[in-house]
Amino acid sequence: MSAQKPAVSKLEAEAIAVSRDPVLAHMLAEEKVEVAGRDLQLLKRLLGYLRPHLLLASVCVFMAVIEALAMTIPPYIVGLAMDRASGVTGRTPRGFDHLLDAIGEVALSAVDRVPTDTAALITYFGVMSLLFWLLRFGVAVATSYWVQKLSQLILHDLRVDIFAHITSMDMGFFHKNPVGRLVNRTTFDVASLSELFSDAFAQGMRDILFVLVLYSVMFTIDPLLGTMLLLVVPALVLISRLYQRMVRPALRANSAVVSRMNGWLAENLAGMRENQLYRREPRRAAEYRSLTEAHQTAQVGMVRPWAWVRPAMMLTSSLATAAVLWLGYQRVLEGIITVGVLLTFIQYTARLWVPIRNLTEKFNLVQQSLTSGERIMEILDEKVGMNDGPSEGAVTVAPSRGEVRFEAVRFRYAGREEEVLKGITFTAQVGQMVALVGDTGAGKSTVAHLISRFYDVSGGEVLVDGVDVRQYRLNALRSSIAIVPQDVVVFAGSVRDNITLGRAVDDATVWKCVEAVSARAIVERLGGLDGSLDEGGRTLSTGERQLLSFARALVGNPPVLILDEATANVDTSTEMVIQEALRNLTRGRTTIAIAHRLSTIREADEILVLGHGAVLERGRHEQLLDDNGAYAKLYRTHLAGSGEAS
Amino acid sequence: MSFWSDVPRVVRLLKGERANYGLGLLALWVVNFSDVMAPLFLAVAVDLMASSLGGAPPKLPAIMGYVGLTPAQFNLETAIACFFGLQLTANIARYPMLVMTSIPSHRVGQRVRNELVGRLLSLSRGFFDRSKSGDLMALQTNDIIAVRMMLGPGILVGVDTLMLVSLVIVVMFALSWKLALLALIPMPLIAIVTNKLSHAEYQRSEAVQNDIGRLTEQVRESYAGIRILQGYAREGYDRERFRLASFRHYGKSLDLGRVRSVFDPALDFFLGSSTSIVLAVGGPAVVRGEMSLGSFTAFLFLINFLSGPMVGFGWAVSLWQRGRASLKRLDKVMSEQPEVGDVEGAIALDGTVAIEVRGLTFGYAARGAAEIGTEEREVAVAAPEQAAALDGVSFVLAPGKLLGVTGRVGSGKSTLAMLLTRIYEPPAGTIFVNGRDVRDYTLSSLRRSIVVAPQDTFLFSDTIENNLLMGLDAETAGGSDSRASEAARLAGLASLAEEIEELPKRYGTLLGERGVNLSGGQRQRLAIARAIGADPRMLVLDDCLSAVDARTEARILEQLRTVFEGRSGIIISHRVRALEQCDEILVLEAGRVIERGTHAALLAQGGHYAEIAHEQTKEAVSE
Repeated sequence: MSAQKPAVSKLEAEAIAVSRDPVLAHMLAEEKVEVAGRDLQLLKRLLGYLRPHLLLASVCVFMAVIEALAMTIPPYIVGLAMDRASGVTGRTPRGFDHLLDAIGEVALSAVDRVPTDTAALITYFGVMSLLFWLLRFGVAVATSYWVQKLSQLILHDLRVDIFAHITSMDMGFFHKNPVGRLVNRTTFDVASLSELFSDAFAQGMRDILFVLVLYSVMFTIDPLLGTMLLLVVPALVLISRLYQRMVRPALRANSAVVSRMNGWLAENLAGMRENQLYRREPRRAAEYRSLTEAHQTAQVGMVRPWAWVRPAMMLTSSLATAAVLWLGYQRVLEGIITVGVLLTFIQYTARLWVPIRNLTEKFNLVQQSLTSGERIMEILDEKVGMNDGPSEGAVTVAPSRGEVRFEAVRFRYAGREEEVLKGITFTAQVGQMVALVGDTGAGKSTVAHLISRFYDVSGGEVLVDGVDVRQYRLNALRSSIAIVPQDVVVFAGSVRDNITLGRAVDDATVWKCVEAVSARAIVERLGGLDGSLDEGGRTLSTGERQLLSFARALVGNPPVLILDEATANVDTSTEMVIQEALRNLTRGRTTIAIAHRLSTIREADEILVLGHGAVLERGRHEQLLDDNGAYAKLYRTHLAGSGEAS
Repeated sequence: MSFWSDVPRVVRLLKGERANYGLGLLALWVVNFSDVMAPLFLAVAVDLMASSLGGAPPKLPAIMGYVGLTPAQFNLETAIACFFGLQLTANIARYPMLVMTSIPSHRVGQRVRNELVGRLLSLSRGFFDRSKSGDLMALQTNDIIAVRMMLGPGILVGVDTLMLVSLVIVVMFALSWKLALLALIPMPLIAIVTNKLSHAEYQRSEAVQNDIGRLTEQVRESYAGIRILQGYAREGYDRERFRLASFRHYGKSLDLGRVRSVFDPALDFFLGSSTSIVLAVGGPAVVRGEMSLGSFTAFLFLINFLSGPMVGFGWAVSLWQRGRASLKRLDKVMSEQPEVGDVEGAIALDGTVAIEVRGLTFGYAARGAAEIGTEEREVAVAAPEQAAALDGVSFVLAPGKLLGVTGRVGSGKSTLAMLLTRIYEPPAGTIFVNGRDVRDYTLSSLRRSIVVAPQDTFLFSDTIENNLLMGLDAETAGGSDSRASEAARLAGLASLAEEIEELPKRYGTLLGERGVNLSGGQRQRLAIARAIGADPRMLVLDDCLSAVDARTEARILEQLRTVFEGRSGIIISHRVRALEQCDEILVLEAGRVIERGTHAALLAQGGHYAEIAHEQTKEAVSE
């Protein structure tokens, strides 16, 4: 199936042409829903989420049947009443006749009065009809609510699953998928699925049940008329299918254009300064105008099919009414049915198209939801990246000493030819500091990543406390390592949660750590440990965020510390505080530092100079300078022309 | 705020589309008329049927007698044919009815969109500092759609309700005024309940939307911080945190679900009560012979016609409420005037650029600096009370000369760059270009001549080539070949060419969310190349090398020498190495010039500059 790519429809081509936008074509391609069979597969998987809620689900189905029955009865009562009204005799009791008679008897005996004439009897019928409407109202409200509850429960489960799945993926996955995309999968795509559940599943199930019940009732009353009306359904479904075929390209185009327009605006608001600095305003306005033209094309493509599908359906329904009237009359003449039954049928016919119209109307939503669903499944189908140690005999005890050893470690990213690390060997003894220096792309960050086992080596071994990192349970390994990255992540929430990350640590310990990294003043300014931090920690400067991140590392008291250019973004004025804090942080811990600052490097027990994935030189600062090799050159490039001798 | 006062505003919006709307509403009338008349023929058919079975002789509804129709003119077949013919007419007219109102409403929506974006593009920095971009986005995503809905379904359904309801009521009264009155009792309730419920639905769905926003932000944080969460083995904690948030969202969604589950059943119930009334009261009337069976049937059908408009009316009212509120928000932005613009008689800046700054003092409006860049953001936080970003700064920059500016984070360096290009308006009489106040020049010629490569520049999710050539004017853009070679030349100047060549689609590579993410250093180099590409008379580099490694920095500085030939320039940097070649260097501290002179002179002076220089030679070995 994949050999033949779906051709771009005329409408989509037109939309791309008027927009003159390269990104839009790209996005349209992404909107393409692939093989039709996948919809079923998707539904099957989603239905799997029903399993924990089977009881609620069966209650919903049961209630929906009751609701459909309750809705079928009032037109029946009208017919029955009419027969009584026109004094028709010879009505063969069928369908709900017995039920209604029984209810009538109970009701009449309850008021303890026998109706004196037909007119009064019909009034009772009216009251009975009202009661059934009331019953139907109650049942419908309950059904609706339970169905909504069921869908929301499923969506909640789905969201939690996706989140858990994504947060267990390895770094390669996060490399491949930008954060924005993953966020959309977790929230917006699930929200879009919510339409599928509450409209397509919930309403659709009730609509279909209603049609089924209606047909069953019609068959019991008059099989021939019922059979004839069966023809209406294929006609309506055919119209609905035709509509879907016509509108699908427009829907796809529209969804792509809308997200492109939103993306365009978000981007140009963010880059407004650049637009103005570079006088792009007229050009941007023209770009946007082209997008709105493409949008209009898509909208027209959506309106036109809709403008005929609805009349076509209503007309089919009228045709059916006319046919029932005509055929029914013949049946009445033959004495097979009464006028009342015919009236009931006419009312049923008028109702028959409503559920099918509903389903057609929801088509747009369902289409979008299915696309969202597929995207979600795509993510859920990705295998969890990192195995959690060997299935048997994994080390569950966290390494406590903190010796880190690399044995001829080689590494290449999945699917890449080129090796990032080409046989790195070194040992950081307990409590030592090893500094990694070298140009961008030399492999420094990769070394750091391998210790926490964000990736697995492609050759050699990484050992912590003498045990290969692949032998540990991930949790055990990682709880012994603290990473301090260059860009500090601040989570919205309390200061305490940001430092402890939810670990059970008492406040005294947290304060001790905060003090050790000279962050007391900051925490106090924020309102203590209960003070709140907003998204991204916007109220903090880079240096302040960094200090909090130090406290976060310290609170777990890990034997191994990884500093990934931890101080690169800090300006000279905050430098002193940070240096002091850093000394407290690294004391007594094995530290692997991807270093930036000379002050850090100078204190290192060993410096590894990396170049193209290999160790070019190793040794202490003075020693390396004396060697006058790569390190010395690196050192001098920075000092060249500064007018100062080293 | 009265509804009627907004009507002229809405009518003005429809300029150019009124003829279409007229036709659409005419078609609507045809639809409604045919729809309402059809059940009368159904009534005739039922009566004919009943009389043929020995009932009373057929009696045409009085209303049909008015136009001279008599029972003798009909048999069952012609009655059914009339019924169907009317339905056919109605459904044919439905097409123009929908198309002639819906498509124009979309067209108006697009026009409003373009006007909005055109306005946003013309507004000054100050406006964007004051506004949240989320709010501005909402104008496009929510408000324009709300206005469109008001103009499309809002108008159609509104008019439909008035038209259809009055037609149905007239016919019902003609059939039996007593029964009509009784059957209509529940109808006002429908309109009230629909309106109430749709109001509640709107509020709760807003709450759900807001909650999605919160949820999204939390998820974004978690994914962005995945290295920390996994690295500290705290995924479990974060999953629990997310589960709670997701459960909160479940609650809000269910709140919305509760309203929705009452909505449709309530409407059905009101219609059902109407039907029941007709049965309880009309049925006995048929028995007594006061009403024909056909009229009774017609009543049942007519009541069903009311359901649409009654639901529609509540809906239309809420569409109008939302549409008008949205229109107000849009109008508010549309009435914003740019703070920085061309004065009357503004002249074009041409030729070489000489700058003189005299006693420039400038402060941002409260919290105004938040958007400029990370640098000033920290200032705004550290000193929430409004402090002058620049305080009495003066200097002269002759054509072809190079000025260096350095200073701590937040000392006002970037502000200077933004004032020179009037991204923010400098006070009158402080900045002079070629001897005239900078405010006397047209914005476009000023920004043509002076180009800033901003710190922390923004890259558009477009191809690398288009990002590089952003400064090129359309007229001079030339063919694709010359564009490609120009892009390569610029990339070469910024030492970026090699890395671009390594990308799969080279200069055609898309940047941003859907493409490649550049590193900080690459972005900065692209910013430099982009600025050079604009070929300005004066080039301002605002701290564009801070994330570039030492070797590349040295190479770029070397190449910049040739770029700066024949141009004036300002290099803003806190790295001494970048400033060495400048003819004069200013050292800023809290907006004031604390030292000035050449590199050599400043070093000799042994002040702040010399101190930084000393620090920096000690620091930074790698990268």
